[in-house]
Amino acid sequence: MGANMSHQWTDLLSAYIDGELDEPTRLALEAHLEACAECRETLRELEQVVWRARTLQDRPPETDLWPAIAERIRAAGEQRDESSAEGMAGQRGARRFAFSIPQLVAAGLALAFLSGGAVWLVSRAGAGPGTEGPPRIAAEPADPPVSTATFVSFDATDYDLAVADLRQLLAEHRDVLDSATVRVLEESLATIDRAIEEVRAALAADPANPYLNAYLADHVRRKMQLLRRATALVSAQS
Amino acid sequence: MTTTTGRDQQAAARAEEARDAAWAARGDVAAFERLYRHHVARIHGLARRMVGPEESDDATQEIFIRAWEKLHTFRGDSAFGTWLHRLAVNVLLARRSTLATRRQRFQEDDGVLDGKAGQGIAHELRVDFETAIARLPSGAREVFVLHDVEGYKHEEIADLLGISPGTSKSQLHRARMALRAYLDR
Repeated sequence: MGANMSHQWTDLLSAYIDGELDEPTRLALEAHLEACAECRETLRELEQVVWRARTLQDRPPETDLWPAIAERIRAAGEQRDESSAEGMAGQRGARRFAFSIPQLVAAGLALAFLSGGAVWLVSRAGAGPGTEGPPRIAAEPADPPVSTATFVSFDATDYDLAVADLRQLLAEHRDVLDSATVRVLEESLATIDRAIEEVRAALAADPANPYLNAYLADHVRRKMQLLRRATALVSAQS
Repeated sequence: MTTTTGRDQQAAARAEEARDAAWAARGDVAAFERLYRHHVARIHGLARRMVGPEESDDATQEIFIRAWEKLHTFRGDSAFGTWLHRLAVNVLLARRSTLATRRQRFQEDDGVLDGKAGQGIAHELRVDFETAIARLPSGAREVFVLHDVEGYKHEEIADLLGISPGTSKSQLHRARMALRAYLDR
């Protein structure tokens, strides 16, 4: 058999392996394979290639990529926070303020104080020094970041009242405050509140879970930062 | 055969991953790290075969950062691993050139692949099978990895790469023919 004729059949072998040939072509190829040892050998090798591809083993990278990924995530988050603050500040010109500034400032300061207290309690309970900055990137099982009793006892008291006060102020003044800003604030608060409610429910069933406590502390801190920004923005306009 | 217990375990694992994905979508980096640890080997393997070992670490980092940014789009309709894998393929392909250039590369690859299959890389005796995959021309490598390693169909590959299913089939055959020389390594 000539080389060109053999090549014509060889080109069909992958489709044959994958079951993609129509019936007449498949039967013709099988008849050819009966008579052509070279094509049979090529078919056997191609089947082995397919088998090798399907049995390749995955393995993790030789160096741990997580620290670099975590760093980039953290940096991106900080950048996003700054952009968000700048975006809010950029709306100042169109905003009409009728807030009671002392009330807002007082509520914001109360939140800052209470949340700062929470963070301090978390740090003291086990997260170690440096927890005052950005949230910890990864919870390490051997290093529980918080004492449950300490945090939960704090969580149910004055902090909620201060948040409620500020929420009420936002609700009462939403008709005179820039609507886009109010909407952004309320949506952000609602998102954080949902997360906090869920983790509180989870903590009720598993109060000693260090991961859940770390998660709660992180979101309380986020809420504090958001409200601080809102208060600072209002103060800057007064 | 999958037992009831096995299915239960799979369902539990999938639910746990969905919870981690939900936590991560709300900013929980620890939950995201768990997802990373579970999936990094497969994603890095995909990256290593698709873009080569030199770029695979950078590509893997980019995939997980993109996943972090896109977590809010994960609805749990499929397993998290499936969602992540699809995103990874898109990221890896986006690292490549534009669609038009990709089409051109498929045309240019033909001669290169024929040469390598006939005599070029076949003579590099120390090259193992995975390295040989990485040395395939990019168009043939993408098709081979997506079809034979990852299990995509030609129609899906055609959509992803912006080529015809027929081109996908012919590139696959050429890749397989070239890789025969590395079966014993």
